[in-house]
Order: sequence, then C-alpha cells, then structure tokens
Amino acid sequence: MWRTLRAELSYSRPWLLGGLGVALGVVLLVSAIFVAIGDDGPPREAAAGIRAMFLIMAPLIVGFMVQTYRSEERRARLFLAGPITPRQIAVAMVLLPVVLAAVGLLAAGLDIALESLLRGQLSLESLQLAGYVGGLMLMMAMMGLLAQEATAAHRQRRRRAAVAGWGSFVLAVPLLAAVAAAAFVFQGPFSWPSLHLGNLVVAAAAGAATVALYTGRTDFTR
Amino acid sequence: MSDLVRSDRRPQTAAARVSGLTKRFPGFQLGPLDLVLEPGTVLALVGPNGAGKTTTLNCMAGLMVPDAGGSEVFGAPVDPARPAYRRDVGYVGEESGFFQRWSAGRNLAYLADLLPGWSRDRAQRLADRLALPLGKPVKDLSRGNRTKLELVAALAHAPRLLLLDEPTAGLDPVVRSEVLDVLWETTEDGDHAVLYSTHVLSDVSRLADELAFLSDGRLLLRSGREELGERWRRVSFRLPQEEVELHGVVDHRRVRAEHQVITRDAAATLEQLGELGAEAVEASRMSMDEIAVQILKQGHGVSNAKHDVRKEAHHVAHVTS
Repeated sequence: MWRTLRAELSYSRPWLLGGLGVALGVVLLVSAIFVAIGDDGPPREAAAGIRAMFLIMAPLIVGFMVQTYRSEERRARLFLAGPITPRQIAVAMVLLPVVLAAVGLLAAGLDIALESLLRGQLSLESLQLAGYVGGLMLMMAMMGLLAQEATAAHRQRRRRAAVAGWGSFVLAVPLLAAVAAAAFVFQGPFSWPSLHLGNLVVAAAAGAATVALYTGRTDFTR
Repeated sequence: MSDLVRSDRRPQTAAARVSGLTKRFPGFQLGPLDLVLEPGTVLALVGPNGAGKTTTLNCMAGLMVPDAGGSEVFGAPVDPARPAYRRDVGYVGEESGFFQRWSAGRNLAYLADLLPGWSRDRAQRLADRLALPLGKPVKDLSRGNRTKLELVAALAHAPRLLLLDEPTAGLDPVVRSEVLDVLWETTEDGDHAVLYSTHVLSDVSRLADELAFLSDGRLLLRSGREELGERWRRVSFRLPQEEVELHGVVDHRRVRAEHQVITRDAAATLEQLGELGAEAVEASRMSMDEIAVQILKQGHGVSNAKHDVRKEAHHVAHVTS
C-alpha cells in the first residue's frame, strides 16, 4: 500500500510543486492587495481565508489530476502485477487526497503563523476558516472517489454496490447541508467544531465506502 | 478432431488450470471454459475479435473476476485478494498501466521494487537486446517500443507462466520479429508455459506447440500444431457421382465430375476415395491460416446450431453439390 501511495505521490510531485508555486503567487498577490487597501477594506480574516483556500486547493486539484491519470492510464493493471491487493490499492487511493489536504493545511497554517508573527497576534478565526476549507475540499475529493466507484459498480452490473454507493452519496448531501445550516443558525462555540466534524465524518464515510466498493470490483482493467 | 478440449487431464503441477470459467457481459458469455496448460507448453489461443481471448487472459491474470469457475497458477488460486500467484505470472496485454509521464527506465525501477524475483540484470539485458529507449517517457514511446517495455516488464521477474494478449498485433515486421525472437528464446528452455492469444497465424507456426480455437466465448478445439497440419488437407479428385458422403469433409465444391474438398481427417477421406474409385486424387497441405478459418467457420455454424463440435469429431459430412 505504501509503495503504491509513494509512487503516486512521486508521480504527482511536479504538479504539486507547480500548484503550490501558483498558490504562493496568489498568496503574495492577495497580501499585496490587502496591504494596499489598508484597514478600510475587508477584515484580515477574509484575506487569510482567501489565501488558505488557494493553498489548500492547489494540492487537492493535483489530487484530482492524479485520480484522472490513474484511471486513464489504467494504473490498477500495473499495481496488480505485483503483490498488492485491491484493498491496498483502494486504501492508497483514499489516502492520497488526505496526504495532499494535509500538505495544503500545513501551507495554510504556515501562512497564518507568518501573518500572526508579523502582526503579533494569532487569529483563531483564520485558523478555523482554513480548517473548514481544507475539510470541505477533502470531503469533496472523497465524494468524487465514491462517485467514481459507484459508477464502476454500475458498469460492472454490481447493482447492490452501485445503489449503496449512490445512496451514500445522496445521503451525504442533506447531512452536510443540515450541519452547515445548524452551525450558521445556532452561532456559538460549537459552530466551527460541528462544521469540521460534519466534513470529516462525511469524508471518512465516503473513503470507507470507496474502499469497500473498490475491493468488490470484478474488473480491474479500467 | 481427436485432440479435443482436454478438460479431463489433471496433472499434478499444471502451470495453469482453468475450470468452468464463466464471465458474462451484455450480449456475450465466455465459457464455461476448461483448460489445462502444462509446464513447457506454448498454447496459442486463436479466435476472431470478440471471441473472448482477452477476457480469458484477464481472468487468468486476476484482472477480472469470473462470474463462475476460476483458475489456478501452479496450484495457487487466481484471486486478486490473494496475490501469491502473481509471482509466477508475466502478463503482456493491450494496456499495461505504466506511469506515462515517467521514463521506461523509471517504470521498470518501480516494478523492480514491487516484484519479488525481479532481476535488474535480466531487465537490462532484455532492454539492451530489444534496443528499448529506457530514458524516454512512456507516453512518447512508439507502439513497438511500448510492447518491448511490456515484454521486459513481464519477463524480468522470471515468471513461469506467460500470458500474452496479442503481443505482436500492430507491430511492424522488424519489431515483430525481435519480439518473437525474445519469446522463442524465453520458451526454449521448456520450463515456461505460455498462453498466447493471437489472430496472426504466422506467429503461431514459430512459437506454438498447440492451438486452441475460441469462438463466441467457447473453446471449439485444442490440437497440436503438427497434427493439425497433418490432418487437414485440400483434396481434389474426379468422381462421376453427384452426391457423395465423405468422412471428415468440411467443405465440398464440384464442377461436373471435378471435386474439391477440404478435410479435417485426410487419412480417412483419402482411404474412402480409394474405395470409391476416385481418379486424379491430389492432396495438398493447407496453411495454418486456412485451417484456422475453416475451424472457426465450422465452430461458428455449430455454435449457432447449439451443437458441440466435440460431438462432431467423427461426424460424416454429408455434402451435395
């Protein structure tokens, strides 16, 4: 499993570095704009949120690219030449966006830490926002994997698996909407934690369902 | 057709054993398929496009899970969740799953870490032998070089069973010859078992000891290459009768007293012609292509009629002009 994950991370390294480079450029640009606007403009949390979004988005976009190439290049055929099981491939597939989201969160954390050092004050709101953006994007990446596996199950005529996959997908949407609505309606100390938890629970459930569906595949040639 | 599907043979150490293998798709079913491949055998799986050759090989490689039945490689069940069998399998397919943006060499280095038994020396020797440009990204390799890369990847861990899915399809004659040379040298020691799907029959005469004919997902016939060449003949003769029943004849054309037949049992047909007093009897050998076309044509007809070719083995062909 680790060899699979390492290979895919290594394969994605040029894009990851490129993506982070672009995000860094955006961060500098956004910072310059907010400095130019000064204190009359939007609050500093907005600037931090925008920067965090780009820093987290860049690696996860790379994750989507890797997922596309993995499918286009029929990567499972290569992995299944060696002593790797479908479950190990699936776990590595699910861990890749987790690792990339962690890279993005780390970059956003460094950005917030740097800003806090410069201002002499830590903005917890910025940290929460970065965490939310990271969780949301990770959850979307996981839902993408789940949708892919539900489609594969449908194509392979594994009807129960396809229904379970699409059913989980459909159930996750109102669940997330309810969590988000509750967090905004009942503003309080539990708003951010419930938003984070909502994203993480749905991401973990989608990841687990993806592993289960992939392991049950009857065709690894596509 | 005496050498038929030998599903009853059960040697102790079959290189590959396929039992009741069935895979269903909308509008097509492969099998139930029974096949035994012994070490040292090179078996060509011959059939038209859509016959089920690739599906058979994919199931045997564990890339597809059959709906029923299964297969074994040197006694180990082919199960994607239990990858022990893969140590003994080298697979060359239509697509290999390589990292397209990595060089050929880097892909091989990845496989070297992945596959137990991989020999970097062997991989290097094969790459040199085939003049494979190891530094080029896979996406920039020509069709021929991709096939060479697949071949190196399939052979470098010294598998005892090679599953080759049309490895020479679409290759120019020079590359094809190089690929066949390597395969021939690999199988020369007699330790390797090879299942080789193709519809390029000229390759068969170079490599295969036996041929298995697949049509519409069913195994029609399995026979030794030499035996096929000996049994199948085109025979011309003169005989005044308008209607005649001849043993083993699968195709019969007549212009007045001049007859031309194709027989799958030359000895029986010639003996019968002698008894009938046929004149100007001439029997000529048929190419493997011609034999394959006849077998697949017969098989297709039999398949449509829901008969089993095995039961037709000693059928007396009734032909009229």
